[in-house]
Amino acid sequence: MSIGTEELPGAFSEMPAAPSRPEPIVSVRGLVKTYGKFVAVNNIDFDIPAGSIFGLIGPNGAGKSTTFSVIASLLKPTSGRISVAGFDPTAQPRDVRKVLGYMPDQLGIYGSLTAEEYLRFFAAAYKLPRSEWPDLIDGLLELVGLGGKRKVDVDTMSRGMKQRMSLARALVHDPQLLLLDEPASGLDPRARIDLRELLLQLSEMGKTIVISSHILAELETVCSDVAILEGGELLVSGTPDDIATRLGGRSVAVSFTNGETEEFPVQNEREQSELLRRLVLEDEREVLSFVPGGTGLEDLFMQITEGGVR
Amino acid sequence: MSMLFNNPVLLREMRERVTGRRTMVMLTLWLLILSVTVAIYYSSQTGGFGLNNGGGSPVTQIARVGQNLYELVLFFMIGLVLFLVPGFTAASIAGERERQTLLPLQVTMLRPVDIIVGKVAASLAFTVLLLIATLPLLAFAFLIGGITISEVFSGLAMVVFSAFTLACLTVACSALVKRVQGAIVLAYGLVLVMVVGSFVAFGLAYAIDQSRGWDRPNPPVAILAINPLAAVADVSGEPPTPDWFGFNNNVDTPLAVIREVMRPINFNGGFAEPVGFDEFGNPIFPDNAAVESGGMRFWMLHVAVMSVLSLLSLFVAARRVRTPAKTER
Repeated sequence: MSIGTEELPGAFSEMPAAPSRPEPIVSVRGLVKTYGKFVAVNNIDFDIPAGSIFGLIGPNGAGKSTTFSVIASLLKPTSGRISVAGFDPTAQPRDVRKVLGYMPDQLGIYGSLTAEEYLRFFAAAYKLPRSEWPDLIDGLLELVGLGGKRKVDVDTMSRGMKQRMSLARALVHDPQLLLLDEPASGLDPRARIDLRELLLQLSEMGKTIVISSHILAELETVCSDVAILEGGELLVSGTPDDIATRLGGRSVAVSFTNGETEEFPVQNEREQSELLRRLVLEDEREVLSFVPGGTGLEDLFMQITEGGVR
Repeated sequence: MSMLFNNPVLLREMRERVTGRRTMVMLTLWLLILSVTVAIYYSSQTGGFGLNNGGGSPVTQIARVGQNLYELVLFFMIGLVLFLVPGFTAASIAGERERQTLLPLQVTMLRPVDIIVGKVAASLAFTVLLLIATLPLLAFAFLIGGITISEVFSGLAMVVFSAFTLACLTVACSALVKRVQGAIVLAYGLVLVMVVGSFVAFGLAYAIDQSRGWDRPNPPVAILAINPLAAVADVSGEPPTPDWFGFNNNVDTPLAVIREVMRPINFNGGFAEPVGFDEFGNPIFPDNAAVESGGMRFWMLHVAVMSVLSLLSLFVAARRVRTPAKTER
């Protein structure tokens, strides 16, 4: 017996409801940023749920860095309302900076300082009590995996280490929200994996992390929420599942030991897991392989930028 | 004061600049050049044991050597300031921008004024260190005689003031221009306008007065008010007291030459009117306070004008690094 996906919704009705979304820590409404006649960001709206890892995705020139700069209280928006932990970055920049750690796309490292001196400098710049510095610096260097590099000149470090120094700098004042602009650019595969693990660790610590990137593969395994920008326009935002659902779902290619191959449309990961369970337990055919297709950010991005969703 | 002493920007820059080997090399070179110059000048003026500095009693001659040595050292000091401060300060904000280190600073709790004050103080710190290292040479001139301790300190204060004002003006250049190279060109261009340009303009104004057939050309003081060299020259000695015919015999240091050039300011066209005669029948010339700027000495006008310009420059620089901004800077 083979099953069709039309039977799936009935099974879903017995499953527990999805947990409600946490309150957004960042809320962007009608954000517009222009430079003369050039529109860098055009009337975008999105929310970043507290505790999430949020990916701001788009090709170069999509408006990601401009959006980051506005959230980080570096740029005034042309129009629109932005709230960061309840503060307005334009009117209350110092309040925003207390809760936000920002890592720009360029490392911005003072090469002549050692790792310890570099973090001391930023601890002073954030006006943290001097008595807290030693423990803070120890903890940060350990967290970013540079515990043994305390006395090493930042200049002599590899790009991956500098990236981690830069991340440690953004964490100096223990912010709730981290804005990381293209954090993995220029990193080798090993350093990317290390960075991803570090981000997951930070997320477990309760930080909200916002990452911008044009390399979708690096976001795929970490982001719980995404917003896709292109040409200054927000094409879509939400969880990858939500987006896939709005695109009409995704498909799973299943091949059986009898040589048959079938493609099953599913709406989200829960449907996908239900499909697998039913195929294994109830289908007469023996499953040889079960390959979800079109579920990745790359696939979503390609579908969206072809005009699928607005 | 905490803006200064607890300023992380200042402390970081000090660590980079003052603890480096380059600092020791520069300090040594500076003192070596200046000491050799002073030694050569002293020996040429005293001829070893015998004085050969013009006429007059030995006391007058040695006093003149002391005064001239003092002016020579001051001239070197202001030269150092004019040369070093724009170079140091022009790279400060533009350098942060070029190294992409300004953005991380701007999202900290540092205010724009903290960043600017830190940068200005850091560029001044090294220059002031060099100036302080020069004090023994000024003390040597003082010990020879011919100058008072208040003259020593007023000359030094004017040099330090000039360093401060130049740092303020050039930090604004650094904040206005995105690239270090552009900021350095702008800063040295500004110094050139202040020092050379103002003298040229003063000369032109003098020539225009002469071309009108005026007996006493009297170009406006304001033209030189931005000139730090003129201010140091003015504060380091009395304005030249010309004889009946308008000639001044004591112009044997660069600063004295500058004072001679500035004579139209101090003596209303370069020719003094005696206000009376002393008991020996010598003419008494007007006090140098009686200048066209309402009884104000030239250096006072300079201090007033440059203080205002410096504050304005600091304000402009702070505005340029203030965020959130309308455009990316």
